[in-house]
Amino acid sequence: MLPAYVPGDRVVTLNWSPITVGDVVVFVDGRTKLVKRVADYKNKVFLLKGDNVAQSTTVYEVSRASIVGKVIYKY
Amino acid sequence: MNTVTKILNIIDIFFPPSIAYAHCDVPCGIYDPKTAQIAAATVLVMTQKLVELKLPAEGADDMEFTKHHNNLVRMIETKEVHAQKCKEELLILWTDFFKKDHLSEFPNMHETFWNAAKLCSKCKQNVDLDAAKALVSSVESIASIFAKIKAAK
Repeated sequence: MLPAYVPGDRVVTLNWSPITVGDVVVFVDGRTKLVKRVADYKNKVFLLKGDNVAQSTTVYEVSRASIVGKVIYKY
Repeated sequence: MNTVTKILNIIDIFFPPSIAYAHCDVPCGIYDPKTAQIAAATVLVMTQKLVELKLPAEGADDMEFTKHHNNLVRMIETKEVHAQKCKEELLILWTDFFKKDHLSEFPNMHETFWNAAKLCSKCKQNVDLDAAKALVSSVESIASIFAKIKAAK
């Protein structure tokens, strides 16, 4: 998620606010939590991508239930 | 450092935050065949369930058929999803974790992955218990190679 987020960054997420395109979210993928940005939202499915396109090539299609929360603060 | 950050840092001491990764398969170096193993095991269980699934008895009411169809579709869907997941996890290991150097120690590595990926497709296309068992066995072989390489590091 470079350059917006670097390894070691900590984030606060909120689970009850609306999620829109451009938001950064934490979501569950299998047994791992991942941080990605919402690229699109169609038919109740969020399309999530990394900012660092050179290294992050996987596109995730996830439901709202898989999203832990929207990132509202980074420190 | 602002006040909010100071407060959050104090909270983190008592309630350490969980880790979220930005990458799943690129430079983080986190690779594990467990996901593929679980996916393959799921394919086998779903195949077994499909083989054992009985049609409703003659004269059964519509609801019995609806329940049967519901079970059938869910089993097929789960088999499909996990076979695909297994294939994706194997491809990540194959292309990102394993290096050219490993081929000298495991010369049949490409063939093992190739066969395992093909078995994923076969399990999706059919209700084939032998193929599902072969997939589990194949993924176990890959996990074994993975463990040997990890142990040697």
